[in-house]
Amino acid sequence: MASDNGSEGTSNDMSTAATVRTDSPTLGGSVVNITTEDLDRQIETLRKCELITEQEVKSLCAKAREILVQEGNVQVIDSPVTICGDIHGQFYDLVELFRVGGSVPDTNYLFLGDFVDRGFYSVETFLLLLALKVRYPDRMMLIRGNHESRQITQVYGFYDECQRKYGSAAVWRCCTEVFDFLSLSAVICGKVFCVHGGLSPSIQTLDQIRTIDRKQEVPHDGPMCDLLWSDPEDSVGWGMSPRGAGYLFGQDVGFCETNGVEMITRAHQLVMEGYKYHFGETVLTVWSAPNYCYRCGNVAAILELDEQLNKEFTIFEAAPQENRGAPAKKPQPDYFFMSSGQFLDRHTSEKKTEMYRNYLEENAVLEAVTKALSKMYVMTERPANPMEFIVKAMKYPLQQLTGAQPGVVTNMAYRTEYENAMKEIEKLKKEVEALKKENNELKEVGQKTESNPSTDVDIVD
Amino acid sequence: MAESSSSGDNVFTFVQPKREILNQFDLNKWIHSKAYADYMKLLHDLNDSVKGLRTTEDIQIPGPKMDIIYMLDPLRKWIAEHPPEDMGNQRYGNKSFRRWHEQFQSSVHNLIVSILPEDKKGAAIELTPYLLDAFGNPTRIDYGSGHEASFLIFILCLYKIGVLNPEDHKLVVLRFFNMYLRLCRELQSEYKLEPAGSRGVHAIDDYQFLPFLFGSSQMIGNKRFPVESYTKKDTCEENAHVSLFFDAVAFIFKTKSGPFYEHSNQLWNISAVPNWDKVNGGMFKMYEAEVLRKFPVVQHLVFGSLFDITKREDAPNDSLVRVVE
Repeated sequence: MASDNGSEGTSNDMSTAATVRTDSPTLGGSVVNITTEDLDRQIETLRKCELITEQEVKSLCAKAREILVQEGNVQVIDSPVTICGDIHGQFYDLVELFRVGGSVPDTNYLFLGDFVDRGFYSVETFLLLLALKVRYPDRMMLIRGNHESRQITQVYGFYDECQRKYGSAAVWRCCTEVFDFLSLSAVICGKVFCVHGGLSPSIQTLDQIRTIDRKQEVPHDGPMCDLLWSDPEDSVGWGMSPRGAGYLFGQDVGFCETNGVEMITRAHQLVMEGYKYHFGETVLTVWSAPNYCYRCGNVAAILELDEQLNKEFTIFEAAPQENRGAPAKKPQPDYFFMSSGQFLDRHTSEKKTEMYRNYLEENAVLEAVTKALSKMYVMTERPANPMEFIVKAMKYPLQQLTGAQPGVVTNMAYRTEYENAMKEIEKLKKEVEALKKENNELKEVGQKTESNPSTDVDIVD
Repeated sequence: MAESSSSGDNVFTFVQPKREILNQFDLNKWIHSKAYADYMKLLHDLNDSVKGLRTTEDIQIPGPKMDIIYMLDPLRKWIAEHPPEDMGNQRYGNKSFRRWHEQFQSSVHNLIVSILPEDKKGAAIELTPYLLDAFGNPTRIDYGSGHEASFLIFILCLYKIGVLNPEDHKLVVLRFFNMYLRLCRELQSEYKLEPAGSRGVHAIDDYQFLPFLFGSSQMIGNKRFPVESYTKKDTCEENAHVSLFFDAVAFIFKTKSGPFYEHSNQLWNISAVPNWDKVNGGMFKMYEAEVLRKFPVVQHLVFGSLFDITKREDAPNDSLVRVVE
């Protein structure tokens, strides 16, 4: 399955890619060396539903970003290819999927996102898919679902799972940095448009998707958000989505006609029979998580498109019990086994630091600041390293921060916005000071074990 | 007069409730609101009132309160009037739920007015959205802990206007809320309501939270059932009448497949907690952190004069939302 990445990419693609830094706020930007042998070994480990080391995750994620950054927002894919819907951490069912669909690299796959959250094994699931992607970049296509997001994974389980399995949020952070680089959609042979959720009222053409700057956390609204959140609905035109993000779109929104595609294939919604057509056969939902939440009793489906784009659905059920792993020990959730004191102790250091980081990365502050700055013409793009930027913003005056000279700030109409953003940063500063103080006090009390001193709130320095 | 009791001298100007939590950062506003404190206080009060009590406890119910407890009766009857249609080409949830919900929607105002005293009928405008949202979403044909919270807010509002009083706590939990749970389970099963925003294996349940909270309070002090006993299917089924906790786990056993540790991993983990007191305390922490402080859940909440988003006087002045305080 040839795609527009790698050496076949047009010069235009390459130049776009070259301007995007793949530096990770966590890992920096050094060149990643990872051998085929390393990868094969990691794939073997992950296939057994065993974890690879944190260091291996870091290299894998770094390498994945290098590959993903080359991909366009609309991946161009040739047939044959097998399309898969939501997986949601159901690792043993993913193994079942590969069993019925064929192994990689014999079968080309396109996964439509939502690899993580809810299921037992989001970590193993995502890392296996990612390792396969890095090992076979042209045969394994991954696009982003609404769950590949910092905010959502903190609610629906992936964050907790990383914490539990690796003892810190480092792996979660690495993975979320990969999420930001995942492509948003794909077109197979120019005829089948594939996306996680659906359409957006602000997108009429594929080219409009191509102009999105996707390397960011999934926004709360706008075209990128809609692609990952929308649902088809038997109604006319566009409707509010009860999900609180994205839209409901009807049969008549005209996307297929405008773009010369025959069908939209998406995932995002549970289907009892594994797949379902909407609007005649112009929209298709594919769902690949059997017996969702261990209760829904649904089967899963994958769609195989052959060279001529003939469709064949393969239905499969949850992996039989004897093929599933045994439970880990019985870890008691923090809420239950710690006294209030211990609970606070644990959370003042780790959780608050994490909250603070997340708060910064969750875009609101960052967006407010960058927007204000760019409107004032002192800075034109989102900082490559958000953490570093905010940390500096807290320390240095504006001129040092952006390299702008006094007087360059020309558009004073946005002064208020800028000042508000700076106020927000001021508040953060105070908060961090308070956290530090609290943290130090705790240390003095001597209650704290030195389990993970590096996660202290000192990240500001 | 009702106003002279729990509602004190509060005078409300009833308004159409509206959404206030529009982005992640509005969580702060919510957590520091009067509404949040009122909600948590009610939860604690209700929780404490059923400590050590069986669900089947003999409770005296004054006549007028019977009307409230049985106000949900018609909702059950309507299920029979709108049987699930053939699944045919349906995605997951059964579309008959939408018919059921239409009937509910057309009657909800009258249902509420029927339990309000003459001088409080005006409160219906505020109460309606909470009850209307308490049984799942008709478009998505789903149900989750946000809908459950909506029902509790409805109850909170009844307290606020003096229709319910502190002496009603027990009957509110063991009768009214229990009736609500039964109805919800019937809706979930009949119409195959999709788990709305479930946290999957990280949640204690796909649909409900509060029966585990109130139910663990009921178990406190009992000699017969240690915490770990609920991991046994038979124990839960045979003792579903003992507490809302066993009742809820029995429903999980009935509806989920596979080994308990896998489909209900959190409950499995919690079963190692040494006593019911700790389980109950943990449930509060967990409910606040995992339900009340999660944007995807609470973004749908609406606020008016009874469930009031106004900042509390004692609210701290800080800018960070804390999961744990």
